[in-house]
Amino acid sequence: MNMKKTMLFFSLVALASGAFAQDKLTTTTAVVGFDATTPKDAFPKAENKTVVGSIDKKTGVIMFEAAVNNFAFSNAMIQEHFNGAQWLNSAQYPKFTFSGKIDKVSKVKFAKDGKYNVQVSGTLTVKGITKPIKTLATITVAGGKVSATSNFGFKLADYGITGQAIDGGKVAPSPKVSVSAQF
Amino acid sequence: MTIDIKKINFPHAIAAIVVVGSFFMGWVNWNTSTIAGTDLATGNFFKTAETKFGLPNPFPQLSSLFVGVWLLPLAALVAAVFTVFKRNALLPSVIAGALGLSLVIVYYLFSQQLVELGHSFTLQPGWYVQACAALFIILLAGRGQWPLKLFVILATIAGTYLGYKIVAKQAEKNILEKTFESTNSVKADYTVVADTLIQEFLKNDTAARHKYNEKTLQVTGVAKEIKINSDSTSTIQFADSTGSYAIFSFDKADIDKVKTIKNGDAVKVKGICSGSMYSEILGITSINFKRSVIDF
Repeated sequence: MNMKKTMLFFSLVALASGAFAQDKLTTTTAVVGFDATTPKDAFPKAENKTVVGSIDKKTGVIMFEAAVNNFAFSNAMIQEHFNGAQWLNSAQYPKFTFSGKIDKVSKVKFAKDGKYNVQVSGTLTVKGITKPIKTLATITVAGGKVSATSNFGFKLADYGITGQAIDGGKVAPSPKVSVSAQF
Repeated sequence: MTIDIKKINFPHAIAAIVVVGSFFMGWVNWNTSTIAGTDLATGNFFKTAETKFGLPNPFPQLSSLFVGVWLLPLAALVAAVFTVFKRNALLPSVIAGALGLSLVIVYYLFSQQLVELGHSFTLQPGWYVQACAALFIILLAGRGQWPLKLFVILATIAGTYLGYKIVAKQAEKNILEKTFESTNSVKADYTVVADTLIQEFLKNDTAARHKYNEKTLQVTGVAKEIKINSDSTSTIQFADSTGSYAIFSFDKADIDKVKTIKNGDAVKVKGICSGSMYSEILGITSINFKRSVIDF
């Protein structure tokens, strides 16, 4: 009898763990675009297509990690400067991270197809500096698959990134970031 | 031959000697690197600019011409000797002075470009001394001929400034138009098996980054996950037994090839290694590749 109870207990724990694990969806192929172009310079623009992300359907916690060095620019010089010590310093700070939470996640029906506009509040870490950030995002549920998109901007100066290229209008002071993830 | 010391134009001779001496002094400091007047002639100027600041010589085909900068101290020496021996030193003085003025302007304007890239610079005593001595070697040469001397000075300053701006604009255009060539046409620096590569990063990340970052790798592995994005770009992953993986992103041009690959297929790909990233979310390491191509 005791053995049966013990087995039942572990079965329930396993079931609960499984259910919990399913709440967290992940991806290793989220796409993050970085656009610091200006009318004077169309080259500071890149994409990283190997961004790791997760979304917790229950708690609304949403996270992203992007390797700075994997942003692919079309121009070699711009890519080198982007990663250089004066700009993003990818050798010392190899990741951009976002960690946040969907406000009122209960309004998103993950079990039902639909499009949900939500607000996400969290922190963005760039070059070792973490700042709070709020952005709007769209979560789409289609055929049981969850995807999310968002567009926001951030001020380079907030993360200690300055220079004459910004003052001279060759790099946008507030680059636009686009995020697209299929979990 | 006797030299009447009293008749020697000492101020001019001194200016000529100072032009020579200051050529060997530090002219600018780029962050912590001191650049002397000689560095343009020796090639160290653009070598330092490229290796430490990512700003290469935009016209490498003209590098051999920089040896001509040695004409500056040579002309100044000739001017000094001519002055001592009472010969007409106007021509060598004008050559040395005009070259000196041109170089101090070029050094200043080039250093300004480094500031645009987020670096800093300070002018060093050699720059100021050269600028003054270059002016004086022209002004004190011979007697009179002031209109000519003033014309040389003003024309040199204006010509160098305008010439530099034109050249810099063209150089910037050349640099910005230089996009990455297709990885298809780039020879692989290393040929590796995915599992071995992943293990190399897991065992010693620093050494592996040093070895592979920004290098072209041909990697063979078994496709574990293939993802095609809505914009026809795609990714392929090779994973090892620990769950750590190498991931390659492909442009639209490779979509037809990617579509023929299925999970479990042995695939050979070529890509530019961006190094590793440990994911706090997944608790595993990924090796990231950009600008990848299927290497059938």
